[in-house]
Formats: sequence, structure tokens, C-alpha cells
Amino acid sequence: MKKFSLLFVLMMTVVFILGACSDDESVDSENENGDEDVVTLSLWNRYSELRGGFAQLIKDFEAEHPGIRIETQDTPEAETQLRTALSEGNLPDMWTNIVDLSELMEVDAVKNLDEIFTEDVKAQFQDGTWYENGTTADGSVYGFPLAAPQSKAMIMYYNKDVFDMLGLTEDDIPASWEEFKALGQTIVDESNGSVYPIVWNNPGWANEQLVSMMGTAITPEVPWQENYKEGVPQVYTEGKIESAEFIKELLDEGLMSPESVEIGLGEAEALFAVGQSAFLWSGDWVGRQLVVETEFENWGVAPLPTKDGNPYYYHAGSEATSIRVSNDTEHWEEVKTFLEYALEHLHETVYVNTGAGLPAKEDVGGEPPFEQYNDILELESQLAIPVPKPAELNPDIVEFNRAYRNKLEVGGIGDAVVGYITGNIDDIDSEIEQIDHDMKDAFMETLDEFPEVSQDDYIYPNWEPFEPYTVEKYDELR
Amino acid sequence: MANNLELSQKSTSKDTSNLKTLQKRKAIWAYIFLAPQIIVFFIFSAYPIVMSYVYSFYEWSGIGPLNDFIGLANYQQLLTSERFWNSALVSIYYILGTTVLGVGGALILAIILNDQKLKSKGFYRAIYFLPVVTTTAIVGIIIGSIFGINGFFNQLLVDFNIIDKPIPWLTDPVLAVIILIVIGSWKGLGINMVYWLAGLQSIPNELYESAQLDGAGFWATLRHVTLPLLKPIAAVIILLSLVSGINAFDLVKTLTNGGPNFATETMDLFIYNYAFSSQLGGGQVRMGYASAAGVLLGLFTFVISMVFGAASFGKQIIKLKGNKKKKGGVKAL
Repeated sequence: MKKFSLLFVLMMTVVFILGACSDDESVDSENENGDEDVVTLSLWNRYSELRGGFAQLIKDFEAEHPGIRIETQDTPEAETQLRTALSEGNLPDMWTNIVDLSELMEVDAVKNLDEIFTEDVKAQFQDGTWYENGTTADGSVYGFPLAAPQSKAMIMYYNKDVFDMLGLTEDDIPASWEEFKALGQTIVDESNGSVYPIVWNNPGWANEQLVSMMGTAITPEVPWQENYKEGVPQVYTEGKIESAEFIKELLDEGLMSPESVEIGLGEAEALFAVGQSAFLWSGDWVGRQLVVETEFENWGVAPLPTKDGNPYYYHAGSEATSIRVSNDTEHWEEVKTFLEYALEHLHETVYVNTGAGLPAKEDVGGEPPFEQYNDILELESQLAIPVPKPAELNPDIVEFNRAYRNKLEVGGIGDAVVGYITGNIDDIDSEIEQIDHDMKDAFMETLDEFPEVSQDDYIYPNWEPFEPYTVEKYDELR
Repeated sequence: MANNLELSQKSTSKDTSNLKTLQKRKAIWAYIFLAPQIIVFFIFSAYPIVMSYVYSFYEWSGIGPLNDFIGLANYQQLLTSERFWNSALVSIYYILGTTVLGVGGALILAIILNDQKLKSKGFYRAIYFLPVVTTTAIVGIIIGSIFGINGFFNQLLVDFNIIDKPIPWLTDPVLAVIILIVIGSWKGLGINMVYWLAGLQSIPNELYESAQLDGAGFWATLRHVTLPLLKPIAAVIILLSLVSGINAFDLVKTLTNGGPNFATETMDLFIYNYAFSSQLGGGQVRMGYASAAGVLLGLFTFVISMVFGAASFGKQIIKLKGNKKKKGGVKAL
């Protein structure tokens, strides 16, 4: 009897351990309702502005394909979640892009989508959609493009309620920093301090984007962190320094909401919507957020103010907003069915009909939910300009860039700008100069380690700031 | 007679054999009951610790094979990194701050709540214990809105004409670290209070009664009776507080996220930022580098524990050894 008890306990322990280690395969073959023929696909989405559009798209898709169900999951800590899933071998069937494509390729985690994206299909997308380590690798497609590369440039939203209240018109919208400050002072005075001219936010990446974009109006040869004339990384530019100083002046002079230094994008949008500020600087997706999330529709858009009112720009295709497919998906046929459906309907449903941004596909139908959508579209097409992508001419640069960036203590100047605005860094000039120096040192050191990459790979003699860098221009250098 | 002796010997030998079997059986059962815990320990504690040492010698993003062995390069880079040393300093401030405030405050609170004459003790104890069972991340978010530029606290100070303009509690690095320490201490106050109460209640009442008979007042009793008898438990509470101060991740992440410009980044947040979330911030995920930082954090914890352990328990151990020797000496005499 005792031996039997011992054996029983041992067996239970083994069953418990093996049970805990096993995968739950049944979920796919039989869903919660017990419908045995329904296949469930998982989709992880990290873009909050796409939630509503995805929900509608999936609803329509499921109605047309009752045998396939798609479960979406929002991923606020997208990178952490995907890396954990990857290390556990438990990737979702699909996810919106996170983790460098080259890293995913290295472990064969991402599915080749050439079967869907034939040359004819690829031609239906905006120029600049297909690029190495973004949507493609070695010429093959590894990402279903969502947003247009000509997007994500920052623009200025203005609150028409505030304008009406203070008797301002669209002619008063400032183009230069001087005009902005003058108008700002008028807004503060006229509203007895109840309205701030601008509300901003504190994430480092947003601050780096803002000073970089404003900075291109002063030093246009550095669109982001590279100088394509000299072939070196560069963040220390007159434009970025002066832009950071301008933002700090606004805060110090009471022309920027003091909350700006401790809030995120969502809070800034909410403050703007309730009329606590006349202007908001942000990206193209905010139109949808204002209308849907805060139910505020009385706003307009204009370019950011720059030092002398000169034009500015942003490097197009900064992010390959796309859907990636797991190479381990057990339901490739169903995923393919969904992607083929998405090819026909996604850009209209998720982008145009919700106003969440600009679709990667050309000539998409749909009805924008707010009239300012086309104004945003027009601004973005002017401001987001393709610049050289060195990996297009030398694929070894993908690996080189990873090694180079591994040597850096900070990824950019955003946190330094935040430190300066909040008064924790007194000398922004020398702080950014130091980051620039470290970047150049790391770059040169990495060049020594990668004989297949040279500084010449970063020099683009046929590139001119503000001129779109097209496929033809790459061909000239091939 | 001889037969009886033989029987008795046989019986003793049988008893011994039964005892051994029983002991053996007990040991088997003990191992069976321990097995799940040991297995879990090896899978979720020992294995990750060992692997983090291995990863620290590689340039590795957390994905793919470990094929880029770089020896001690991650450690070299860490030890020359200004950001790493800043995070270590912030962690030290936090650990010391929460220990002094949290342990000291909890002692005062425990002494007050241990007073026999105090009514509704249970209620107060429950109130002070409440923050312990509250989710730290939620606490961080709420405190963030209280101490924000236009938050409740600044509004209160402005309304009472104590300040002219709002104080940047969370964006000034010194003030932000102070807020972190105060909130961290408040969060741990309840559990430290429980430890102190346990210590206080273990002190025999007779000692207080004789102190009272000897004419000792509150302060004299505290100084000569309570505090000396709390010394052993004090060492344990301080050690626990020091070690728990190293894990400030959730509070820092939600309250300041290490900002501005990494000024409030603690070591555990530093590790997280490199291990998981660098891509959106413009950097690279570096699991190997983060593992090296994790190893240094582990060593840091070990050193703190050893130094404090030696400082607080060393004398007791020496005393114990001395007592044993004395006892041995008496026996020999």
C-alpha cells in the first residue's frame, strides 16, 4: 500500500511537471465556443491609433470568412512582449513591427511574403515603401506595409475654439519663432494666463524629433543623425541646438504649459482639446486621436514654426510601419487569406476611414471621418522627404549599424534635450557636442571592425536636402 | 538467562533496523515534498542566474545564438559608463534613504502602536499596513499626479501662499529622488512596523514592570530596555530593508521613468532599459550588456549583505563562540 502511495505521488509529480511544460495546442483547433472548424489567428498591435480600424477590419473579415477568427492584443510594452514571446518560441501569428528585421531574420522568425507581394502588387504602394531592413531583406518582402513612408513628420495643430475666443484668424498662425513668441504673448495676455500658447510632452524620442525637424530649417544637411555630405554621424548642429534653446525659452517665458515637461503625448492632446493651449506639436496620427479619443473636432493644421519661417523636413520612411508574420505560424493559409483581404481593404478601413494616418497603398478609397484629413495628407507629403538609406547600396550596413549603435551609451539627443528643458543640463551645446563626439568615435571604431563597409557608403554626392532621394538616384551611384 | 539476553539483543537489533527504515522513509518523503520547490528553484532562479553570467560575456541582443564572445568587454564598458555609475549612485541614495526613513519611521510607529493604553490599535495597524498590499505601479501613477506641476500638492502649497509658483517635484533630479525615497519608505513602512511590533511583543512585560518599579520613565525605559532588546531583530529589519531597496523598479518606472536625462535611473531600471526597451528610444537591445549589469547588481547586493551582516551579526557570533568556549572550560574543570 505504501509502495503504491509512493508510486502514485511520483507519477503525479511527473504528470504535473510535464503538464506545465506542454503547449496548449487545443486552442487553435477548437475555440472557446466549441466551434471545431474555426481557426483562431493572433495579432499583436502596438499602435493605439490603429485599434479602432483593426477592430472594424477584423469584424468585416470574420463576417466574410466565418472559419477564421482573429484575436487582437494590444501591446503597450511591445518590444518586451515580443522578445519574450520570441525567446519562448511562442510568437503570435502576426504582429505590428517591433524588433529590427535583421534580428528577426537571423533566427528565421519572420515569414517571407513574396507570395503575396508580387511585383504588380508592390507597384501599388507609395514610393519609398520598400526598403532594406524595413519592409524587405535581400529584395524579398517581410512586412505588410501599413503607413506611408511620407508620414510621421511633426506638424502644428491649432485650436479653433481658442482662436475664436481670442479673435484670432488663420492669418495669425505663426511661421517663425519670433512670430510664435509674439502671438504667444498675446494669447497669454488676452486670456489672462488661462490659455498657454503651446503644450508639449516629455518623451526623449519626441524631443529629438522636434529639434531635428525644426533644426533642418537651419542646417538642412543633417536630416536626422547622419550627414550624407561628409559620411559621418552628426547630431551636433546649429539647428538642433537653437531649436532646443527655443523650446526652453518658451517654457521659461511662460509661453509653454509647465506640465509639458512631465506629460506624455496623450495628456498633451487632452490639454489641447480642452482649450488649455492654442497649439499642439505632434504627428499625423493625432487628428484621429483628437476626434475619436477626445471628441474635439474644431482644429486645424499648419507647419511647425521655424527660426526664420524657412521650410523644414523629416526623413521619410523613418519607421517601417507594417505587419510581420511568424515563420512558425501553423495557419499560413489562413494568415494569407487575411493578408490578401487586408491588401484590398486594410488601408481604406484602418487609415482613411478612421483618419489614423496616411496609408502606404496608393489610390485608396474611403471616407475620412474629419475634413482636416486631407490637409494633414498634403502637409505630410511636403514635409516627409525620402533621404538616402545607405543599406540600399550596401546590405552589410545593416549589421554594421547594429554593431555601431551597440557602442553608444545613448541612442540620440532626446534625453539631453529633456534634461536641458527641465533645467538639469545647463550647457546643451557641450552636452550634444559630447554625444556627437561619442557617436563619431563609435562609428570610426566600427568601420575598423567591418572592412566591407567604408565611410564612402555614407557619402551621397547626388543628394540635396529637400529633394526626394529616389530609386533613380540610387541607380546613379550603383 | 542466555536465551533472554539473546532475545533482548535480537529485539534491540530489530528496533534499530525499524528505526533506520522509518528514518529512511521519512527522508524519502521529505525529498518528495521538497522536489517541486527544488525543481522550480533550479528552473526559475538558479538557471537564469547562471545564464546571466554566461550572457554577460557575449554581445547578444536576446535573440538568436550566442556566437559573439567578447570576454570582459561588457564589464569594461559598464565600469567606464557614466550612466551606469549614476544609476548605481541613485540606487545607493534610494537604499540608504528608504532604510533610514522606512526603518526609523516604522520603529516610532510600532512603539506608539504597541502602547497598551492606545485604543483602536488594530485599525491603525491596518491603515499603516495598507500601502504594503497596494500595487506599486498604481502607487507610482497616483503619486505622479499628486506631485505633478499642476498636481494636488503644488495646488495646496499655492493656495496656502506657501509658494508662488509650482515646484517641479518630479523633474528636478534632487527633488525627484527625495520623492522616490519618501514614497518608497511609506510603501515599506507597514511591513517594517509589523517586524518591529513582533520584536516589541517578544520583550517580557516583567522587564518593563521592574523598570517602572526602579523609577524609569518612558525615555529611560526605551533607551535601557526596549532598544537594547530590539538589537537582534533590528539587524534583520535593516538588512531586509537594504535588500528590498535594491528593487525599486516598478516605483521608479511609473513615477519618473528614470528621467529627466537618466537622473533618477536606478540600477534595475538601467538593466531593464538595456535588456528590453531600447529600440523605441533610439538605442539597441543589449541583453549581454544588461546581464553584465545584472551580475554587478547581484555582487553589489551580496557585498551590502555581507558587510552589514558582518557588522551587525559579527559581534554576536564572536560572543556566542566565547560563551561556548567558557562552557567548555567549565566542563573541563
